[in-house]
Amino acid sequence: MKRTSGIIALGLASVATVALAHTGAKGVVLERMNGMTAMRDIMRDLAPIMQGAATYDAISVSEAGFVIASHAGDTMRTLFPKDSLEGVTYATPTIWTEWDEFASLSEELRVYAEALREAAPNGLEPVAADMSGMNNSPMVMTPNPETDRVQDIASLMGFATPNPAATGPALTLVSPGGMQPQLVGTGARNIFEQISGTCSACHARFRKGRS
Amino acid sequence: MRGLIRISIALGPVMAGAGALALYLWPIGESAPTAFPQGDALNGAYLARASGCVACHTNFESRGRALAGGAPLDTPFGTFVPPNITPHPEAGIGRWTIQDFAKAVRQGISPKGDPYYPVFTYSFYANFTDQQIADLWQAFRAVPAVAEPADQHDVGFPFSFRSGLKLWRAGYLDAPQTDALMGTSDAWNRGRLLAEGPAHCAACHSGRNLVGGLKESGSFAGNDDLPGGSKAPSIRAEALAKKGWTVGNLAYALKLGIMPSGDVFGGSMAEVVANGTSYLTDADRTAIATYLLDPDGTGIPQAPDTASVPVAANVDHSNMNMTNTN
Repeated sequence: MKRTSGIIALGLASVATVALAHTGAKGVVLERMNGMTAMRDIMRDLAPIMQGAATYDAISVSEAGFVIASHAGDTMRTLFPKDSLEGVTYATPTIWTEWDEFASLSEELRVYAEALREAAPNGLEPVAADMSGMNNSPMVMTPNPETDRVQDIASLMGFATPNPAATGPALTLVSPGGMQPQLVGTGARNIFEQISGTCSACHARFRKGRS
Repeated sequence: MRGLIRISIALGPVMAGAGALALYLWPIGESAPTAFPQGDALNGAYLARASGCVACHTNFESRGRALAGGAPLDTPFGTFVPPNITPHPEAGIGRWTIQDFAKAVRQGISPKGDPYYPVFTYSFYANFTDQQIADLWQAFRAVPAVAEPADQHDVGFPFSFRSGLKLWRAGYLDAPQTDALMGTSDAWNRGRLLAEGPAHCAACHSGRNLVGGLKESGSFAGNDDLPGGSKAPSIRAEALAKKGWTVGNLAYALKLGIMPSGDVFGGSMAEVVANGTSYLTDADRTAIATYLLDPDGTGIPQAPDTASVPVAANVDHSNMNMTNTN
């Protein structure tokens, strides 16, 4: 419980402290930077847990999901009013030219974060995973089925059609419109990877520094 | 006097033409073997991912089809478009032989004998074995053919004169140092082979001179002038340790893109992870991290400077560089 409170306190403290420390941004730009910073700190704390390098605590993980979700979705979108690029900002104008994509990623983040909150009691790994669909084709370096991606020629060469049965009990969004994740048996690690993937996809497209 | 000037004016183009002709006729490369072993497509596909073939030749941003042509790369020399390398006979490499393929990959020379621009990172693939070439060839043959060719490069003179690249090759083309070293671990040797070879970390993380050659003194020291204005930080062991990287969290970052600070890669490194290193095995990611944090093979990776890992209370965004500099 102490750790739970710690994560929430850290999230709130980071927002407050960064607001004071920040000298180059203001208004809505500052607000969204603070939100990003809070999520960054949560990710920093979760990463060792998801690697198995720190003790897994379901309540802490659930609270982490709650904090991320609170900064995602609608909250995030409202912090990006059209062309809000004043002062120091890392946002790119493509956010507004490709708004649907940005909005979709922000919603995806919220859905996955909520999923993490709900699935935290399942633990790190999938519960009662049915591995019968795994592709155990031979390869040069034997993959670890728990942590390595399923590898076949089509996936590796980039022309595979996504097949949930081939990747085990992965988290999938039921429909793009509804975005209701299937959580039965899903482990926290899998959802965390989806969250980091969503962050990365968003940063690659909508944050300065992109090539 | 006027006569001399007139002769000089007349001789200038003649000399330039003679130079261009000499460059054009300058033979480059060596013949590829007449026979290759039987290839394994799965091994080849893994190597293709590790080597960045899929990431570079597929335009993921516009949801392009696999290997049908990559996103354009804006450089000081012009805009380069990674071509369609699907097995389509007209739009792709469907008419190539495995010998053509081997020469392209290992030597950077087209079936017509033209040198490829070094934006194609063939110098890092120079040590691929015949077996690896055969594996790659099988994997590329398995990809669905796409009939639409990629756009042409948009490169102005003099860089559009491909034979001029022969001078560049003479000055800067070197095979990577991927050989195993005695007294080092299997993981370290595997990491050296991957990082210096197929994964071509130096292509982005090393400085380049005015003509695009890798600076020997700048190996892994970072590059502030990547295509598109992006930056690649130093990945030398001391620099990595200073940012809080360890073998464990670096290997994890190559899988998920999470930095020690909790920030997640953006920029071109996000694409490298999403379309490249996330497909590697944990063992290979760990091997790369092992090598980068212990480049001399001492067996003791550089220890992280934990004090430098940012915590929320110390963050000042006004000085924060969000271009993957962690």
